[in-house]
This record gives sequence, structure tokens and C-alpha cells, in this order.
Amino acid sequence: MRAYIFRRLLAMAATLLGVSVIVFTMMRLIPGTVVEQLLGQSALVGEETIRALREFFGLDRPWYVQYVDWLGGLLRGDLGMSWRSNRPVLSLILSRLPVTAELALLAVAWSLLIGIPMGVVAALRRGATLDSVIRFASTLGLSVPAFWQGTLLILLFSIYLQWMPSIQWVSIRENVWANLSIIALPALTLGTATAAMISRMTRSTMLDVLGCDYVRTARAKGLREPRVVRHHALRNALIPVITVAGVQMGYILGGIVVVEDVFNLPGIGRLLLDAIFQRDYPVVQGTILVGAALFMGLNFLVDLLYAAIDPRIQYE
Amino acid sequence: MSESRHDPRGMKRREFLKTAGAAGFGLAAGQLLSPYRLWTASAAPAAGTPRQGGRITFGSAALPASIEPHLEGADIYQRRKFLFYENLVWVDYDLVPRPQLAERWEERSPTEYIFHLRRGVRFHNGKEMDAEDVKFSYERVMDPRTGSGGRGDLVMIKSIDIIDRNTVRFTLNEPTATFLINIAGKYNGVIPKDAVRTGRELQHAAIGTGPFRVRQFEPNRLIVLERFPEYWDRGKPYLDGLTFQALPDETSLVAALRAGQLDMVQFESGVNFKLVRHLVSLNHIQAPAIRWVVLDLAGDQAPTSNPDIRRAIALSIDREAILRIAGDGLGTRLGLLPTAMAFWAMSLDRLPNQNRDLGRARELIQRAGLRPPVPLTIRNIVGFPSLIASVQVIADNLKDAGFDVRVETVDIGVWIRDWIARQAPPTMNEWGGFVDPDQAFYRHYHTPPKGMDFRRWNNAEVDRLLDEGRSTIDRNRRKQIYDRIQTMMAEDPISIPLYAPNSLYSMNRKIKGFRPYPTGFMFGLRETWVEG
Repeated sequence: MRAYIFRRLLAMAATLLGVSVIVFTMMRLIPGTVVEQLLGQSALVGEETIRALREFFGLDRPWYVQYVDWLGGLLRGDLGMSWRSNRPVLSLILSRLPVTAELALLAVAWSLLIGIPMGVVAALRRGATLDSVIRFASTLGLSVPAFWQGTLLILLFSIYLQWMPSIQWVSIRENVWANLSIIALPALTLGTATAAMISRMTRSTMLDVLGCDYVRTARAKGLREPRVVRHHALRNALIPVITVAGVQMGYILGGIVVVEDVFNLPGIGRLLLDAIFQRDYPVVQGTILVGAALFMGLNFLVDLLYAAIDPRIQYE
Repeated sequence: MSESRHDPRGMKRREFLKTAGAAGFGLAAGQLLSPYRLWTASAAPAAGTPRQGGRITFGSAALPASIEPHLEGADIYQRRKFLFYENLVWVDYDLVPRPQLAERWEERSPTEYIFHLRRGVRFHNGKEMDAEDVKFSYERVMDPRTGSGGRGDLVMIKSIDIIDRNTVRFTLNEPTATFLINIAGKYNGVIPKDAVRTGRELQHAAIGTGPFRVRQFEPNRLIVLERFPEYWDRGKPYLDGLTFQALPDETSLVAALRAGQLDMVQFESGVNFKLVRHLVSLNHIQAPAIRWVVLDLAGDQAPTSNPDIRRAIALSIDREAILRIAGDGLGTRLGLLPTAMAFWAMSLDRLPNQNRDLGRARELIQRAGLRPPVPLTIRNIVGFPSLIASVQVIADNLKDAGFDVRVETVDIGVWIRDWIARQAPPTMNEWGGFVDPDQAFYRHYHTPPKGMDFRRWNNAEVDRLLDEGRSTIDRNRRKQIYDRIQTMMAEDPISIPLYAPNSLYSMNRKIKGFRPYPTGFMFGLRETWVEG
């Protein structure tokens, strides 16, 4: 097990190094730099000013020198400073992380809360109208893009139901109710596709499990149906669902960029998007690297959890 | 509801806006139709006695990434910047330079100005402002190592000398009509001399002399201002606090305004303004702005290198349709300069090639020796909805005359690279923020090295007139010069202005006293108050 963990950590480090190279070069492939963004469209300056600004940001040095410089800082735990706001990238990320973490956790919680019961019910009512309704709803949930769903929810609540949460972010420590009212719709939007995916997965694994011998045995020995479902079928059916939920965290991290933008939440997604628009390379690089590390860390945890839940799985 | 109605030609007005500020030289107040007067005709500020106190939250689609006084070029910053930074001079609503940190000035000769500083002005850090701070601040913008986009506006300054603690002398290389306007420009701002150590600390902390000080700044999201109690103009500002909140999705701006979470909103999109402007619970302001959407041609690339083709393009375009479709009808047509620059702008009826005439356009193509379809590439910049909508109409219009238009869309980074390198093809642009024709024309059309002649027009007569306009101080004489330049530009349309979008604001009815400024700067918030 230890050897497995060590190998996984080593692979994660190598992957992160690869991510760092890709992010670094990709940002430099996008046309335009921070200099043009800083000067603005209306500033028609001479070459001299542009040269001075390129030097100021170190963009006059060869890209590999810039990369090694950044990597050196990274190894010392220094993600650098934002070019536009001159704040440490790490502190920018850490100040926004709680918003994103809360949003992601609520989205996952929501998707499990909705997805699992829906999947179970659909499996138990296989072929019935309810099954068809749930399957249709799942397909719809998977197909509707988050930005569209978000805009519709905003319009529905603010215009038709005359209710709108605060536009200023309130953390959960300041006021739980205000915080939840702000984050409920974004979490709902973000979790919809995952809920649909989990519902479909639960339905299919439940159907497999319900056909197994041990379920028939449980029924044969006279157990009531709810107990059969809860104790014998569901427990086993959920093991693959955990994997799916883990993988879906990646999808959720991706969706966060869109959802935070639509709902104006001050999380990592907004930070990243603004930094890309402004060509603030240190912030983009730092944020994507932290995002990648989080994603890999979560996957790793899910794998470990998998072994803990299912004794048949052992890592060597 | 105090929404604007119609202008004399029957078109609706409205806002928008981007850039900087400046003034009309020696404009005798009351003598001319100023932008302020155009605006008052449509939406006068509410009468009443200003009341001290209150806070308002102002929503917009975007906020700046930094608040650096001399480097940050985003107009979303510069609109708000003069609420906390100030200059020796500011340009008032009638576009006249007025004293700000300088109590008065003397023009000893056309190249020597003495500024007498206002006494007892304090920076937000408590330090008293003096001549050293003024010299340091302007020299910082002029220093190429700073990398300020405003350096070009100050090239006429030969030296800045301190006469005593409260007196500064600016010596110019040559007489320059726009000197006062330019030192009030958007990239300037007086800062305390000891505020700059690494040069980066001012990106997120502001130490100015303005009526408000920055209490909190979150890049791209939030700027919280509070009243500066030691402000030199006693009694101002009226508001205790002012929060700028960004909501990137304009639908959310509408929702938040309706829900009462925002007190005031500036719209970039006419569509969203139209959604709320019927609401009687809000006040709405549309104001003509110094900003315009334009098709710029390339003087050294076929087919627009041929003046006949340039005229043919100008005669093919249906500018009324573009205003209606791309500008949501919330703006005005213009000749070469927008109506908000009332003194300088020549009216459409005095300029040639302003209206669609397909027959004449086809003749000109034939005279140029070209056979339709004539291939023509027009460049468009990503992220400017008004440009995208305009270019679609233009492509359609030009097709009718015999052009085969290909629209090429590029990122703003590519745009700026090619534009500065003077190699851009015909391009959709949006210009604005100028308050004097010298600012609008000199750098754009004068050949290098003095100007940039971005469109490679290479017009020696215009060069001569631009030099004359810059060094002539008499305003009426300058007006004649710039009328001649506008006529030449209309006769040989190297740049084809399409329409000038209005500035658009909506606010709750308790907000009083806000005046829109022609360049979109939010000077008006200094005099805004909340009704009890």
C-alpha cells in the first residue's frame, strides 16, 4: 500500500510538471500580452513604451528563462505576484478557494442527494412511466449547458418570483443563511449534470445488483423489500457510483469557471477567467496548477476510499 | 422618468463611452452648444438641495484589474479614477480647463505656464501636497521607463521647475493649444513623491487628493470608496460612501437594479437598457458621448489605396441602418466628430460622401478600373458587440455595390500589434475620449515621426494643417483649420465614422444630481446625493 501511495505521489508530481509546461506555453501562444491589455485600446503608444513595459514584466527574456525562473519560485513555494494587481498569487488563490470549495462540495452533495434516489427509484420501477420520466430528466440534465441554465434560473427567481440573493458575497462564517441563499442556485446549476450522470449510473448498477443471487437469497429468506434494497442491493451498487462521483469532481471543477461567472461568485473560476482575459500569466499558471493538483488529489483520495469500502480491492 | 427623447433629426440618443477627458480651448461658456447643454435638453439633473450622507452601490459589467494612476489604461478604470486622483487642471462639463489642484495659472508666454498650487491640499495619507509632488507625478508619466500610455500627451513639455513650495513652472518646446487639456488627461494624477518605491505598490492602493479615498479594492470585482473628510473642496462630496460592484452578466445588472440591490447602473448594451427604461420606479439618462464606431481603411493596401475605392465604400454604407441595428437606435450619426464635441464637429449636411448612393459607388469602382466583385478584407476585434453587428451590415451594404467582403476577426492583442506597426488592413474600430480635435486627429493622421498616420494616408496638406492647428492658440482660427481637415477627410474618406453611441445610465429615484460627462468619466458622482 505504501509503495502504491509513493508511486502515485511520484506520478502526480511528474504530471504537475507536465501541466506546468503546457500551461506556461499555452498562455504564451494566445495572441497579445499583459502589455496590450494594460495600455488599453485607446492608448496608442510608441515602441519605446512597449519595450519598457515588456522589460518591466520580464517578457523580453527568452521563454525558457522565464519558465525556469517561475519553476524555481514554484519549488520554493512561491507562485509569484499578479502582474495586474501586484498581489501574491498564492494569497489570491487562498482567498478565493473557500468560495470554490463550498460551491463544489454543495454541488456534489446536491447531485448525490438527487441522483442516487432518482437512480434507485428508476431501477425499482424499471419500464414504468416513472422510470421513463427520470430517464428523460437525466438526459435533459446532461444536455442543458450550465450557462444557459444559470441565466434562466436568475431570470426565473429575480423577475418572476421577485427574489434575488445578495450580489455581495457573504461567507458562511459571517451569515449562514445569507451565504446559502447566495450559493444555492449556483450549486444547483453546477450539480445538475452530475446529478443526471449519477442517476443514470445508479440505475444501471442497481439493475445489475438486483439481478444477483445474493439479492434473490435475501428475498427468499423473507426480508422485506426496503431492507433488501437498502442493505443488500444499494450498498453494493454504490461502489461504482463513488468512482463516478470522484471523476465528476473534475467536471465540476471545469464547470466552476462558467458558473462563477454567471452568478458573479468570487471564486477561483472567476480569478482564472479574469487573469486569462488580462494575460496575467502568473495568476493563470498558479491557478491552473493548483486546480490540477486539487483534481489529482481528489482522484487519489477516491481511489484510496474505494479500497477502504470494497475489501476486494487491494493496492500493491 | 427623465429619459431623453429625440434630437432635432428625430433620432434617439443614448450613452456608452469609453475613454478620456479633455477640453475645448478658451470656450466661452454660454457661447456655444456644449455637450452638457445637449444633455440637459434631454435629461436635466433633478433640482433640490443637496444632502450630505448616504451610500450608493453602482453596478457595471466590468471593473479594472489595477488602480495604478499612471499605468492602468482600461477606460473602466479611467472613468472612476478622478474620484480619488486629481490633476492641476480638470476639464469641466463644457470642456473648458478649470483649476483643480492649481488654484490658478498664468501664461507668461505661449511656452511658459506658471501654476500656483492650492494651499492646504492633503493626500489621503495625510501628507500635504506641494510642488515636489506635482513635478514628480508629471515627470513619472513622461519617463519612458514608467511605460505610461499617457507619455505621448506630454511630449510638448520641455521642463518642469519648482519655483517655490507652492509654485511650479512648465516650459514647453513649442506653443501647444492642447497643453492644459493634456495635463488634465486620463493617464495623469498627482501622487505623493514618497509613495513610489518599487513602482508597483500603487496597483492596489491609491493615495490621491480626490474627494473619495479607496477603502477596499478587489481586482475586477469591487471598489469601495469612502468620503475623504479632509478634501480641499469643503462640503464635497455629498455621499459618505460609494461602492462599485461588477456583475459580468448584464442580465444580473438588470435583476439587481430591479431588486434594489444596486442603486445605479451603467449599461454597455442598448438591449439591456431598453429592458429597464420603461420602469417608472427608476430614472434613466441617455447622454451623447464622445465615442464613435468607425471603419478605418488602409491607404497603402489595395483596393483601399485608391481614393475612388475609398469614396465608393463611403457611398455604399447605410449609416442609418447601422445606427438602428448595431447601435439599437441609441446614438447619433456623425460626420467626422461626434455631436458631443459640438463646437468642433461639422454637421453632416456640410460634408460630402455621407449618404448612401449606390449608383455613384458603382461608377467610382468602374473608374478605378476594377471589375466587381472587388475583394475586400475587413478586420474585426473580438469582444466588441457593436463592431460585430456593424460589420455585418457593412458587408451586406458593400456587396450591393460590388464588393466581395471577407471579415477577419482577431484578438485585441493582434489588433494592437498591427495597428501600432502601421500594417493593419481595413479595420472596425471604436474611438473616443478626445475633447479636442488635436487629440482626435494629430497622432492618428500626421505622418511619422511627429504622428503615427495609422491608416497610412500620407497626406502632406493635412500634416501642415494639423501642425498649424496644434500651434494656433486662437480658438476660432483653430475651428477654421479643423473644419478644413474634416472636409478633406470626408472628401477622401480614409476613415468612415458610422455612429456615436450614447452613454446609458439607470438609477433609483432617490439618487439626485448626477451629471453625465461627455467622455463617460464619473465626475458627476462628486455632486451626487441621496434624497432622504
